[in-house]
Amino acid sequence: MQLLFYSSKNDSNENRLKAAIGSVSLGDAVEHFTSLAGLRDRLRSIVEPNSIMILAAVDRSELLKMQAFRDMLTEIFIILVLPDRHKSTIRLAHLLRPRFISQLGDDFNDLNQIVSKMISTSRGPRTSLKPPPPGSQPKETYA
Amino acid sequence: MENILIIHSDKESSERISQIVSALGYAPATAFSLTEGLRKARKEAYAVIFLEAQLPDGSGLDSIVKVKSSGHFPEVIIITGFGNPDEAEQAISNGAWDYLEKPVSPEIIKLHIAQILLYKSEKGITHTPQVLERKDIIGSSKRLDDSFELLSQAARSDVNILITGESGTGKELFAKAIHSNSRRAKGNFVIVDCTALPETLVESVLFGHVRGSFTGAYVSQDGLVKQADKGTLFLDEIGELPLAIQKTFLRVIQEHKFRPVGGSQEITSDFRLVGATNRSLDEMVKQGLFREDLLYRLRSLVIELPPLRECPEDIRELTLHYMGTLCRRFGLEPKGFSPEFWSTVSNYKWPGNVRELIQALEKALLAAKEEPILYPLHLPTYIRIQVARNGVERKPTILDIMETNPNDAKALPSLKEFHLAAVSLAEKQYLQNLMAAVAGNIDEACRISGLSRSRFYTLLRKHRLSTKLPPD
Repeated sequence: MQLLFYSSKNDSNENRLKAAIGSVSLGDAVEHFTSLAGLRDRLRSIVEPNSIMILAAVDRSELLKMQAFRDMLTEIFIILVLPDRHKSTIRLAHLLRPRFISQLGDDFNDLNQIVSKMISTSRGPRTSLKPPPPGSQPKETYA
Repeated sequence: MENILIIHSDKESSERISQIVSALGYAPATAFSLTEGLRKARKEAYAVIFLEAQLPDGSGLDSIVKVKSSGHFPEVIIITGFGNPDEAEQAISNGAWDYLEKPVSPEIIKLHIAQILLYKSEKGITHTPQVLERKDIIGSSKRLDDSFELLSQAARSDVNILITGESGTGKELFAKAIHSNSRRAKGNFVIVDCTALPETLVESVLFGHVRGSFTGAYVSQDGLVKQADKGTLFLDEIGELPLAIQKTFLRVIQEHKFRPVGGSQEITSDFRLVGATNRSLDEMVKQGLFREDLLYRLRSLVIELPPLRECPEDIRELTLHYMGTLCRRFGLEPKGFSPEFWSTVSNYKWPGNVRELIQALEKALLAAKEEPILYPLHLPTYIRIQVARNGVERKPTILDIMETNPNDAKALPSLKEFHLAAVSLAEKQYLQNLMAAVAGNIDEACRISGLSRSRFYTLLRKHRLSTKLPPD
């Protein structure tokens, strides 16, 4: 299992998210991406089964751009952090088939609990703990 | 002339309805069991099917959807000797035209047939099956086709659906396909991952909350049930839903109304429910872990997805499809396949089903890099080992010998030997089924089996079974 984390804006939300993710006990390193291009490159190589991806969208436009990755995100548990809870934003969010939706400005306590539960009940035929493949080294590591 | 089928176990009742149908100028056909009826319904086009509520080989009530999805879109009228309001409700919810208690007068039968034929003619209902979008549901085996037929029926109705099947068989894909092909396609397809939700969060995630209702509730928030309004609510691994929430949820399914956490007013949501599980909910009901009334509500229509090992003819089509997808994703040229590669993927049992196949293909592609042809060598080692082991003829066991020579006194072992061999075989089968059912999750396997972790590992070693699919 791997945990991929996308957040393009380094602000208090990102810091709280990092803290929420960092406090989760995970054998693997967390891979942090700050650009959608970097994330797209990463998805061109193998992502371990049962992996989790946390996508934080700063605005609707960024959420819209994430839709382009939809077909690359199958078999990955998506957690979305939305900029707002407008009906149209929620509509876009569900197109990515998220397992959980949170929102910027939240304390991410819920998100932390969800990620912890996902890790503890990791499903699927394989739950191997392997480092990311060469060429996709994590930018930051919290382990 | 319209054909009309009567599926009834009692010859006398069947004959009476046949005579009325004949007198009206239609062509009656009869079947005396559910199996025979289903076979006839698939083969011939019937405008109306009279179906007995309880047949010797199965429940007509539980088979309404199956009968209606037999390919020719008949209308179904349930006939029963013992009228029951709950059964009547179930019949209508499952899409029956009407629920009639015997004795049924010729006038009533005549009226219903006339109404159905008029309805069909006004609606322009033809016998052409609906064309469905089946994105990523790959395969053309009989087992998959049966599931797809039910999907088609599910998409055209609004009943609750339960999708069952082992991990990796594509339950979520099917749920999404039902949504995309239904009248709710423009609404949200909302996933509730019941395994990932901690018990403390379930209620607020599902039903939402009002501001200040608990620490951290800084703003009022809609829950997933509300977000599924006019769309589909997909409860993945519904067996994991806590019992307390099951009770609340039952009411939500019935009334489509709920109260957010801390809220005083009820909210409505017009959602369609699709549940999925890889566990036996019937067993969970027996163990008191799942509410029977909720299960009853859920399985208006059940789609049972087959494991890949039961659809070996689909492996080639799946491999070609996903190999194309993966090559595009990884930016690689399309690959060719050696005959040995096909032989290996065809002979492996794929306990992790399609999901495991996709993961194996990913690894094969990366192992092959720029090589144009894929060989077994590129597949993960554990797959090649398993196929090689399966290919070696195993030594006959005591049970095999007894089965081959049941009357040969020399072949008979002592009772103790026989007992040990039988228990060992049953134990191994149990462990294999268990590991497949929990998809390698050891904690879950120990919980279900009631074995301690150390005992569980000891048994796995004894039977030479893996705890999970070994790494490359």
